Amino acid sequence: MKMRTSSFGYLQRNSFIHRLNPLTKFAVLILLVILTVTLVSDIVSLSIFVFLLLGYIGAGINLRYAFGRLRRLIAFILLIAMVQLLFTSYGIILFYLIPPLAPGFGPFFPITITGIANAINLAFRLINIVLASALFVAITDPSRFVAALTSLRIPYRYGYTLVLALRLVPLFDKESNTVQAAQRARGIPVDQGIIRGFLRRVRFTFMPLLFSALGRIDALTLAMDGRGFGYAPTRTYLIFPNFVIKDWLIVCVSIFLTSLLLWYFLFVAPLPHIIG
Amino acid sequence: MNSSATSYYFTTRDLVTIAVLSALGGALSTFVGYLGLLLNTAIRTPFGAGQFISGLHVFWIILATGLIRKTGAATATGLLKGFVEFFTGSTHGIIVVLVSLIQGLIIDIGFFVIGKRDSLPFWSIIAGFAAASNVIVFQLFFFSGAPLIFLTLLIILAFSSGIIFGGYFGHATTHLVLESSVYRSTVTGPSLRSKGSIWRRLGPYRLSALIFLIVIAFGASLYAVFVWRPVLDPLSCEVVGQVSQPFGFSYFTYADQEITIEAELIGSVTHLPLQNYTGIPLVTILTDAQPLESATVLQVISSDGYSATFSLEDIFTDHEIILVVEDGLRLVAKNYPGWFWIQKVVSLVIT
Amino acid sequence: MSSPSNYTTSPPPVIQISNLTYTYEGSDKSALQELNLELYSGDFVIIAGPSGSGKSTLARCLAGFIPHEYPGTFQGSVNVLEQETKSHSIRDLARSISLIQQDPDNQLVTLNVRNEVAFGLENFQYPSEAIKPQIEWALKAVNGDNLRSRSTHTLSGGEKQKVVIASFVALQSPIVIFDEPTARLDPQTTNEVITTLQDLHKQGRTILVIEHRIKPFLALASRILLMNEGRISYDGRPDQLSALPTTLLNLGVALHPLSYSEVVPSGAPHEQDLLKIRNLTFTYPRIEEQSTPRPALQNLTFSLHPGEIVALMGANGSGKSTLLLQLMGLLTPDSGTIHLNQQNIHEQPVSQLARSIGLIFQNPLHQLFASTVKEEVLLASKHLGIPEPNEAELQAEKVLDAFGLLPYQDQSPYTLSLGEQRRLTIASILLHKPQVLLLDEPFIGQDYHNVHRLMTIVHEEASQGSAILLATHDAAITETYCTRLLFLYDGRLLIDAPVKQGLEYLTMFEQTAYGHEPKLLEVESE
Repeated sequence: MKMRTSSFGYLQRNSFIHRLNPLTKFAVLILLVILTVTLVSDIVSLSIFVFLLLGYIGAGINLRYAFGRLRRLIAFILLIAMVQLLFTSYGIILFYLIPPLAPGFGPFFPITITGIANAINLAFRLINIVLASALFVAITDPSRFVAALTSLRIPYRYGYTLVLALRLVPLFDKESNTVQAAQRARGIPVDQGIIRGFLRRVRFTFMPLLFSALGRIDALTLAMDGRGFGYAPTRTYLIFPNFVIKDWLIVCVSIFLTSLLLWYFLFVAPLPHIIG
Repeated sequence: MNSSATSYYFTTRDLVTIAVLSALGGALSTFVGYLGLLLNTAIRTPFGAGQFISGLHVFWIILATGLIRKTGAATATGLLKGFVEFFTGSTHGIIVVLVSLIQGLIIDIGFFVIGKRDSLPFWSIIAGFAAASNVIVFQLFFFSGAPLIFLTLLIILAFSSGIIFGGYFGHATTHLVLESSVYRSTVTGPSLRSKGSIWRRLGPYRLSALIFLIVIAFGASLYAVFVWRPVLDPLSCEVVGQVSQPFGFSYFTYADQEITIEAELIGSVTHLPLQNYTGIPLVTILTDAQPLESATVLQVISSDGYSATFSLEDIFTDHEIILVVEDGLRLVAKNYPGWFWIQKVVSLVIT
Repeated sequence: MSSPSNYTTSPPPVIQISNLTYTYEGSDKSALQELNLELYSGDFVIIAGPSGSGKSTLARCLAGFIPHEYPGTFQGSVNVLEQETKSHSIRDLARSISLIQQDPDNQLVTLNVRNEVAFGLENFQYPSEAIKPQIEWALKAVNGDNLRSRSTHTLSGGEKQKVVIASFVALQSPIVIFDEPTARLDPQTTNEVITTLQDLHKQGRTILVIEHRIKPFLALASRILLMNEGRISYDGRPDQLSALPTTLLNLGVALHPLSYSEVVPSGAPHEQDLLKIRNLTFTYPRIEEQSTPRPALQNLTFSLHPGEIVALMGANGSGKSTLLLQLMGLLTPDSGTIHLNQQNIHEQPVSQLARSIGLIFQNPLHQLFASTVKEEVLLASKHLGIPEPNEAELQAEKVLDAFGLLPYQDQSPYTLSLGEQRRLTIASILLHKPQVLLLDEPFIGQDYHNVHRLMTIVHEEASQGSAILLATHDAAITETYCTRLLFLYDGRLLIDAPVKQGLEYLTMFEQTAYGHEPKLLEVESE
């Protein structure tokens, strides 16, 4: 039986990028997402793609890791591209997928240059968003991210729920595997029947997991309160990620560059692109 | 009873409950995604069946809300579940945070509207909306321009899934949990059990929140489906050839210069009676392109390659040739026969 | 400290409970009844008693969890270092008293060990310079310096327990309560934890330990409390305990060896092999970047025979659970074979193998699927088709009655107590009469009454020709109820012998071989 587990993406290294304040990294991530969503052009997408690959290299992370993330997405990327190819009817038509079958019936599904351009652009949008996200996750220790959130005046008790949740994920992963093993050991045929099998899987997996997880709530609450969680509105940190000059510099420069690009391509000159 | 100097809106127990359910939702999202794949292959649809399970994502948020019963619990759970999936390597990256946050917001507003009432139909509708919202967010990012029928189908699928898994399954599970020995409920009995007409007790605040919710839901759907057009604008066109300023434009670039004319289409086959058309005068666009002295001819080309040729001189004197929005851009040439009224205009070539 | 003061009779108690009565919400029986207790600085107290006698409730009252977190009716007063718990929040009390609960997985709340130990100190706003030495001190106190930079989710059970203890003792609170600190631990880790407790006590802390297995703590304790039905039924010095064996037994507390006599391991096992394991080797696939794969099971060869009750012992991580998963066909061996009645078990899907082999996992909640207790018992037979539905219905009621679960047959399994749930998991695989029963640590958190009840059922199955293999750390249970002992060390089978002999080997091994490369002591000849 293949056990499916989710895993943490954080890869501990000691690169310059790793050492940046988590909020700096998050700001850059958001700006990159804004750029890739707003400026629809294959040239821009490609540039961001290359920028991200450089980011991986700079952080000392094997590019195979990055492409591994993308491999899981192939189906979704193809879906996005297909939708654009099939359903973009404007633009210069190259050919029809289905030629006229009878007088007055067809042709259907014109493939246009615009459709191809759309397919490429949207596929790249997904790729870039996912690569940027995976890079952020790979270089950011979630505990430090949560600690840094308090500099934005987010109360630490709220931020801390993220640390707690992430700590529980591997535990629940393991339990999820146990539950699925227990189903088979009890002779429950979860893989028979499409809809029935599906519903059986959901019910027989969700319920045991849910109840054993909920059973932990009391103890977890007491383990936190019993160590002074919420003793005061603020707390100290063993290591607090300070926002230092290089962080200010990077954030300011990134915001400036993003605004400049947006202004230039939205108001001054049309976006350059290769196809479309 | 608790005399602690600091008291909080969300108790530690609430926060732990939110964290536990978010973590479960996050840990099981790989399992749920895997189920979606199984369904896709089983039902032999390449895609779409995945939406059949979108209610399973909403389930956790509904459950958290049902157990905690505080406004904001759903938003917090949605946001946290999104971040958990993001940090554990969701296939959609940071977008999943947005999707999940919006689902939480919708559920919070919905529960604010119905209050603490334990109404299966209302829970189901809220869960349905929340589940359907993921289609719209994904459409905004990745499926711009997909046909209406495709989107409608996905929205219906997601909505139904929300009703089944978020509403029905979520409601039943909340009760099962509250009745079990595993979870100590801090929800006091009567509010959960209270029945009776929801409308009667609907105060002005809730009513306005309900209206707000409906407006937002419809607005978002309309916006997603009609206004937010595909990335590469179907209402775009280029002016090229012997001009000193070749450029591409969108209909919206000139939207403030719209005029309305009355015209009758007389074609060899089609005949449309006299009616009003609103659009942009071709002359306005061509003026911006600044044709060269030597240019004499304008060729209007449609996406299927069909074209019509005009004398440039005629165009500059005729203010009743306009581009209107009609399944792309369409030329309305009042003083010309039907075959000059080119549809799906993509290019203006001056020679 | 030790110099006697000449003008006071005694120092004030650190804990003072007067007339404490507490009833959980929704319960009609008081969990604690008119309890009075005074504990003094430097006491080392064992609290024992059967499940449901109020031990954990008492601990919750001392730490302020009751009345602050649990609704219910609370009468009387609890004072901890002269603070009345009712009027001080849990967070405030946490500076005076720490309660370390049973399951470490429910108490780890951060992603790595350093942050975990720092967690409380940070909440109490210690400056970061002050936190660092405290972390080092606390990790040293639990003999866990080497764990400093580990992720919490990669720790073993014993390591988790150590980290949780470190994270509480780092707060330096003068009173520490341990709720079953060693229930999940193997003997070696148990000894380490006991040493930690001893050290903490020597530093002047007041220590309270709640335990079923009291023997390892007797030498340290200055006082023992036996609880029953919400009252303290015995309060005295541990060296006077031997005078009251019957009282102890009635309270589900066992001194080694157990004194149950009515259950005698059934006689000589049949000669034929029911389950035959030959040269079984298995390695888990690599999960993390750095980890190097090490075989979880190495070249195991043994057989199970009808009528046998076999204890599977070994340290945490020695491969016990992996072996059970292998025997259930849930993992595929790298090499070697498993035959059930001469047939290779991998020739059929696990959901069919379930007819003949039943596996009970550690946590009952992971294996309760149905919406009522009765459906739960019928679930497997419904899917396997044996016995006939009508017959199954009849048998289900019989089994439920035998397990004391009949009154709950229409309730959700989730409404049962832990002990009842555990019995239900066993009941739920009995209808179709599997020939082999595999039980993974069925005794965690169970008092000896419940253990006895479980083992009576197990014996009945064995007497009808089933073979039973149960993983446990508890030598007392093994000696009382099992016929044979298998001992795993680092994935290898070191001992396979009749139980008495096996336990002797095990004692020898534990005294001499830890830390050395162990040699095979004896394997029962084929």
